[in-house]
Amino acid sequence: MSKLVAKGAEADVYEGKLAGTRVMRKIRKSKAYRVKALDEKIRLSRTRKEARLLHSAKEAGVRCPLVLSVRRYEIAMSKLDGRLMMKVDARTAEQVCASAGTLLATLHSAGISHGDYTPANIVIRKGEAWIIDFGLGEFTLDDEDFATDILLMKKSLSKRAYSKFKKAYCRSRGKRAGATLERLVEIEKRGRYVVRGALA
Amino acid sequence: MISVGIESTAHTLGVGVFKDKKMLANEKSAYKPKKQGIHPRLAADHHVKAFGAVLERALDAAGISLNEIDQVAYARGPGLGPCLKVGLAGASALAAKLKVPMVPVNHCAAHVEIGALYCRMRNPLILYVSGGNTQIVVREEKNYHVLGETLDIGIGNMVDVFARALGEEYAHGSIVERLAHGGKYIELPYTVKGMNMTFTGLLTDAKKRIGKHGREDLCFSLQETSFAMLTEACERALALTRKKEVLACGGVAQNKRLCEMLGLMAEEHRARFASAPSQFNADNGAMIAYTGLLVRRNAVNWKKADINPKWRLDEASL
Repeated sequence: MSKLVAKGAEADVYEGKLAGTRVMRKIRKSKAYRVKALDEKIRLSRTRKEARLLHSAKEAGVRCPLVLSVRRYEIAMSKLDGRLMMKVDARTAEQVCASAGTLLATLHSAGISHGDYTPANIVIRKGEAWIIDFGLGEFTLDDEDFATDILLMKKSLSKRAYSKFKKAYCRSRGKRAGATLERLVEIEKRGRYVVRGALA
Repeated sequence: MISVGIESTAHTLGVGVFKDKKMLANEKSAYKPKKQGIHPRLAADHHVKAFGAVLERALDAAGISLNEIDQVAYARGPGLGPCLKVGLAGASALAAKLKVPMVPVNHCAAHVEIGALYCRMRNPLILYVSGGNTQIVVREEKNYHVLGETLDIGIGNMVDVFARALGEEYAHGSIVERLAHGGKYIELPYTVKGMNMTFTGLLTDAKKRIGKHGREDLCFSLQETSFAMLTEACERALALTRKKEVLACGGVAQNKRLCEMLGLMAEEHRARFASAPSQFNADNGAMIAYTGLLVRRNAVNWKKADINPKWRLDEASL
């Protein structure tokens, strides 16, 4: 009784039911190109890590799905009703930027980077931002990881929206925001993140 | 329009000739170090000595005389400085004598473009893997966009260093590929970060295991681990860009197992996979000649020509 709702590079996401409530199941697929031992190791360790990240984030007060059960290659989590930030109009998206900034600051302060923090992974629910998909997340204290999260948002948002996002991020992150933003400038200078239109 | 291309970025001195979309010649001479890796100065010395003969062979094979040449394309970078200078000097001399324009070509772009030409691809996701380069690239109109790349060394470099650590006489990736047949899998470090990857951790770990495990097992596991990293990064890029074609090019794209893995991955996403023909995956002059025709509008007078050993693909344009 589950319905495929998203097909990513490494996992499929199904919508189904668990004990009467609606849940999302993220299942890491086997890859024919990898040898079996490596394939199983990667899928198992990443499933566990993602569950740990979600759990830690939740504990730190980050708005994200609640992990309900973890099986070998599968995480069942609560379904978030709402709309993807990517799919709403510019005005609505701008209104949620501050919330998205505060949310990211909370996540970083808990020692977690998301790894793919873009409007495609932010759900708007009752005017607030919620984060999904911790597949590329890390437990980290490295400003490089944190700055990369911010940079992804910078590349995806309009100038005005980004400035709201950044302001909220700095306010919530407090003293630590300075070092992260310094690193952001450094990363941009390295040049490989220069945006040349098309893909941004 | 006849274009002569001069390649001298690393161990190979190559001269190729293209007439529009038709290849007329592709001649080369490669420097083979007696031990260890490429010594830049010795490689450059080899190129100086080989230049005249290789050029002559290329013109003979193409059946053209010097004065039929319309432009001289040369690899401006990225590569080893001393080697690039030899190519620049040779190309400048030729262009000055013939009074034709010089066209600076990015070596990586040349691998990509010749691959796309021969595999008949219009807009592929590109995995460029060689000794010094490991990049996942797409082209957006006239510019290249690097989606992911190695954060330390090129994959070919990693495999070559490992082959040397095994004590092979002519250490090369192809030896590792041959030894890998029949090996068993041993767990080695696997590092992918989004669409980027690193290889030095894997290399160090594999080197430490020499003597403790069979050579076949180590080679097999090194390939399986590093190629799975590449394939996974490509898969992520493919899911993001939704391209319908995947092209592998560069020296390491000659590896059959890597091509098999990329093929399986592409199939799952209903994309067509192809690897550039072998003669163009190795460094060669023909690809420089061909790409020189595509970037002819960048032509310069020989007096203004220069090299750039760190010329990134995303800084070049078609």
